[in-house]
Amino acid sequence: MRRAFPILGILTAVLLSYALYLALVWAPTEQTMGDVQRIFYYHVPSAWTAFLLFFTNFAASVVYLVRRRTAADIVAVVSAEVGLVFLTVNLVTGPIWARPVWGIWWTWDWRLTSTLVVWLIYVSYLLLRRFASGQTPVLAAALGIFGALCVPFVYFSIWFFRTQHPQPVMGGGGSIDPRMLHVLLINWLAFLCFGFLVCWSRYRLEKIKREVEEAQALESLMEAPRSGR
Amino acid sequence: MTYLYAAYAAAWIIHIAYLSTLVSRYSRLKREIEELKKK
Repeated sequence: MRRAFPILGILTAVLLSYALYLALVWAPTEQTMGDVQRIFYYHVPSAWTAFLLFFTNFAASVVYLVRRRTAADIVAVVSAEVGLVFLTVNLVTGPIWARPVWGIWWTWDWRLTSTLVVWLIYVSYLLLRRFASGQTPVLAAALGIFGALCVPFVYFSIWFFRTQHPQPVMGGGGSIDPRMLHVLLINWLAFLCFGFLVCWSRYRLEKIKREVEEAQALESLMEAPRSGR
Repeated sequence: MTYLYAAYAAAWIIHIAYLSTLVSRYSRLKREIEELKKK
């Protein structure tokens, strides 16, 4: 497995570079918006990757609540953290696209507001994991389940409500140039590979961290009788 | 074009910043492991 990591890393770097070339050079220029539309090739795959990671968090949280497996708890914290990074990219690139196209950075419409709410839910999830003690994994699992249940609302908000956000490009009656769709999917694949590698590193880090914490706790227990307590 | 490059740059700045926090967390853990080994 250790040998696979650098190979996958190189393949992901190549795929990310190729996806970047497709997005910035190869993809056709959109007629109304011009080059700024190319932001879409990072904005949309970031959101899809984040949502996939939040569903991973949901599944891991359910497994943890049912079986109390440590591995499931680690997967939950890792997927929430990496998912939050991808959603941050989505929330930052969105306004940068909106400013030249809409003339404003932000508007409180259903899609944007619900995305921000989900982002805040996962920020609180990570704060809970960082600062609370005792029954933290159980509480965090419950919050993770709640957060993932909000994700479909974000996705379908542009179907159910009138919003300023563009309509979906896939499904819901939207249409997209096949070359643009190709670039979008290649970028998503590249982001998925990158996200997987980051999750892998973060999983190993979390596992080592817990082992160190256990060793430190054991160490202090062994030192207590020596100090006369 | 400025907005386009700003968006792509922002995306990679966020990812690189996160990866840097992972690297620093890993080095801190490595130090802690060394300390535990010394004891």
